[in-house]
Amino acid sequence: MSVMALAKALGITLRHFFSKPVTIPYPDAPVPLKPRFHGRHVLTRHPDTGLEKCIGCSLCAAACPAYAIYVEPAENDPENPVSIGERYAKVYEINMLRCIFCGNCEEACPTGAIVLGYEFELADYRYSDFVYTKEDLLVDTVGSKPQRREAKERKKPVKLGFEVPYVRPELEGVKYE
Amino acid sequence: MVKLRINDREIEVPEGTSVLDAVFHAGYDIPYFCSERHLSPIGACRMCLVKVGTPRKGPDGEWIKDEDGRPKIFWFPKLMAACTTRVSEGMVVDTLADEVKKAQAGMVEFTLENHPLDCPTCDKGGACELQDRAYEYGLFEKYYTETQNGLKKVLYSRFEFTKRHADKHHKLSEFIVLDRERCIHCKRCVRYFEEIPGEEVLDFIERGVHTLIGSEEWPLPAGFSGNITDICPVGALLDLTARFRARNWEFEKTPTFDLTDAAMSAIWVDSRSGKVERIRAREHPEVNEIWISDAARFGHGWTKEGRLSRPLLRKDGALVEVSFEEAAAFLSERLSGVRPEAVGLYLAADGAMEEGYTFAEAAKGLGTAHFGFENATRFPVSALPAASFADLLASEFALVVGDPAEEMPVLYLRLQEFLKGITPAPRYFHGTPIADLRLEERMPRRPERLATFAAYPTRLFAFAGVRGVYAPGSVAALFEALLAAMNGKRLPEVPGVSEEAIREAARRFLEAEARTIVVGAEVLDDPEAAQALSEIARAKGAHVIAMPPAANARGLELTGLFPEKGAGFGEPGAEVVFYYGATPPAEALRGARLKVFALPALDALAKAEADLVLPAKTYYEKRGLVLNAEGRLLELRPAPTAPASAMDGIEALAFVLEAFGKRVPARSVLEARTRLHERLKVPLELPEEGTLFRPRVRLGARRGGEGGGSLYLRPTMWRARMLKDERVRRALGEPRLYVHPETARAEGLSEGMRVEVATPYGQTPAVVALDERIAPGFFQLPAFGRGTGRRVAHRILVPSGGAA
Repeated sequence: MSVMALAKALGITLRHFFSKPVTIPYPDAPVPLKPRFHGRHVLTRHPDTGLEKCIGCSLCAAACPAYAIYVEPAENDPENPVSIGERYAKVYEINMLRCIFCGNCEEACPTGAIVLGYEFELADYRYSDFVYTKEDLLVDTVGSKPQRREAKERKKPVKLGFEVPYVRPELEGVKYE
Repeated sequence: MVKLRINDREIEVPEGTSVLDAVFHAGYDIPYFCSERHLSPIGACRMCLVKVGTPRKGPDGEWIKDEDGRPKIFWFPKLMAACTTRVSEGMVVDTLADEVKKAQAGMVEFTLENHPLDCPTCDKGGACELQDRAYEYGLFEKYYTETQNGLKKVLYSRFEFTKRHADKHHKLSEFIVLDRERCIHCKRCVRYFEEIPGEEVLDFIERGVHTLIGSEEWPLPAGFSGNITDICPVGALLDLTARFRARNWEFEKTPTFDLTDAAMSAIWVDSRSGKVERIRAREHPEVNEIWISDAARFGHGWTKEGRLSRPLLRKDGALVEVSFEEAAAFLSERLSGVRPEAVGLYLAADGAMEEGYTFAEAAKGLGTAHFGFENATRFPVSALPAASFADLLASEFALVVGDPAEEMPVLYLRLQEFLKGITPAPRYFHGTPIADLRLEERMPRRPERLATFAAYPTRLFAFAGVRGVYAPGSVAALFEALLAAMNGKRLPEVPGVSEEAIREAARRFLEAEARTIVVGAEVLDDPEAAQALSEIARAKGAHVIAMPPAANARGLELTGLFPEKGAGFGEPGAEVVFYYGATPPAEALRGARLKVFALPALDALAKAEADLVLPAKTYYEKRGLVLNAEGRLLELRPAPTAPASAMDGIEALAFVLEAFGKRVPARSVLEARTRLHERLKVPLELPEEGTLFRPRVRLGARRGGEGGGSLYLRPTMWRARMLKDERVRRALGEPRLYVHPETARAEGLSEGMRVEVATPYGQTPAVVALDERIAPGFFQLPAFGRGTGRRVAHRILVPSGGAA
């Protein structure tokens, strides 16, 4: 037993007392995410024409190991197309309770339409609210369903609880503020 | 039999077999695109190249031997197309040699060179032969080599080419779209039209890389055009009714049978999310081979529209949704005090035998004589002995009275086979031969094998040696004249048909050793004609194939649902009526106090007249047994598309009988089938392809219901319910009212005039079409499955300013 040992231990405590803490006071402060983080999906658009990239081919649904995706295609109106080509996704649904965020859908997508984004705050109250439809997934939508609902109720913009050093180029047109 | 060796296996196949079939028979696989079952092999795609060698005989007539004393194999100098090469004794085939693999991979590359990379949006994706062959025999590993860091591209890639560009959305008809970029020029569709329905409408236009499929005609002749979407190996020809409905692996695929006509073709019902999205032909070598009619394929849109999921009860003049409890309470209140003998129980033409049994037993239990099924003919079809399509092919002469192309479309295709003299092919381990070398392009059809008579010039007339158009209602005279001609007696007069034609038909009939008589609804509806027919068949010896207008007529008659005395389907007489699956003409409801229907969706009559409508199932959704025109017992399997509360005939009948407080004969399909098994020895377990089931039935012809108006209802393959689909209506155009020019002049009608025709089945708009080949004094209108082949009373209303 020596006084030195006691001082050494106290020294460690004191050093950490004055160093920057590793814990983050989430949700008051944003969580720093890595660029390759797998979060809520985004359906992207072609930046120049604004047409949806998704052609409703269902390959994401075929690749999904959790059967979380449901796609119902339809034929484009040539005058007023939704996507490039003849076919678009009339219904595009992802069940976020089933999704395991593996990213297989992103790899299977032949047009780069479905990309995993960064949003992870998806907790909600009802099963049905976890089924994200096209309007919840398309590129201009910011925030998950509960976040947008809350923002609407409080009449404030959606507050995202994360920050990324840079947004992956695959997430074309996605801006996180 | 010929002995030959495929790689390492010695096999024996019948003479005339192609090498392609021999290879598949031996259990090996080779890729092919242009060969298809029942079509002639032409060797167009060059995918099936194999190395073939044969032993040779020397000048001494002995096999030339090699050093080991075995017959020496002389290899052909180049690879041979297996589909057009005939097997020979001692032949040796090598499908695994390096040069074969190289040739096959090269051919896949050539085919892919100009094939667009549409697979994600192509409806064929996942079921595409080109996709599969590209994976199995393609060149993937040649493009890339494995390096330490993964894959490295070493060669050019098929992604770097500018591909051939052509019309991507070329509609061939309302139902079929052609994508000319995707076409790989296998020529299956071109050969199909010439060889199967016998109409040369499609052909190659231009040559080389510019080759495209085209037609002078728009639209493609309706009737059998849909089959080209099945046989197209790629996504060049696609079914527009199923366009972009789902990917191939997402469909729920149910193997069942089509109940549009009495042939009962085997079909796949592809459904998704509780909706029938696509119908495809399923192979049944003895019935429909691999073909189905357009009505069976494209006429499924009605199953989706306005499906009922809860009972509808009439309250204050309008039908409102109510609960089943309320419906039952309503029924028991209204049924109390009703005499059981005054109840009428009626079933649709596509009812299963179990339903028929339950309806017949319930009628017996109630003591009512009012029961029956839709489109029952006056002469029971079961009273005629059943014959198979194979019997037709084995015949030398066929006499056809009616219009098989419309009444039983599949039989029309088998008649084409009969005209070409094709007999059923030998079966191999892989089933039907893929490259049947007996088949050729443009095989002559032998008109001397066929005599046909009908009330109007049918499609079959082009192929018949003897033909005649009789006046509607004179089929009895026709058969009597035929019988008289066969017996060398004086001929009674047949309106419209010349004596020579009848004598010629009778002479050819007697000269042939095996004969088949095909008769349509009109004959079955005329007991005298049907009697004369059975006399001819019995006395002279002939197979009879009857085409009843009700799909399951044989099955339903067998269960006892054939009404002999009381008011049948569509006849007034019962005070309380229950119709399952179909509605009758409005006049049948005359005098009925309570009208209960069970329907998949509301129709005009139910909307106007019904007191209660229960949700019903369509035949795609039912379980049950059916008996086709050949007397072949088949089992329906349900596709998962019915609303949860939709009832089959047994459940709906039980619901009504319970409310009435009467005994329920059976509560489930299984129970009814067990009773059928006890009663009629119906087998409980059926093989997939069905089994012949031809018990003897004693039924007499029905009296009354002769009709006798001057409107003849022409058979059609399309049914009234299918006209709910807008695409079908567009494809068929407005119904035509066919009139002889003389009659038209007398009535003040002219070609192209728009009129309204009031028939017992309702009022329909029609366009007048003059036809001098039909009998004067009659009007002819498409029946759409209601009153097929009958003559009914009508009124023609000319709207003001209706003249075109």
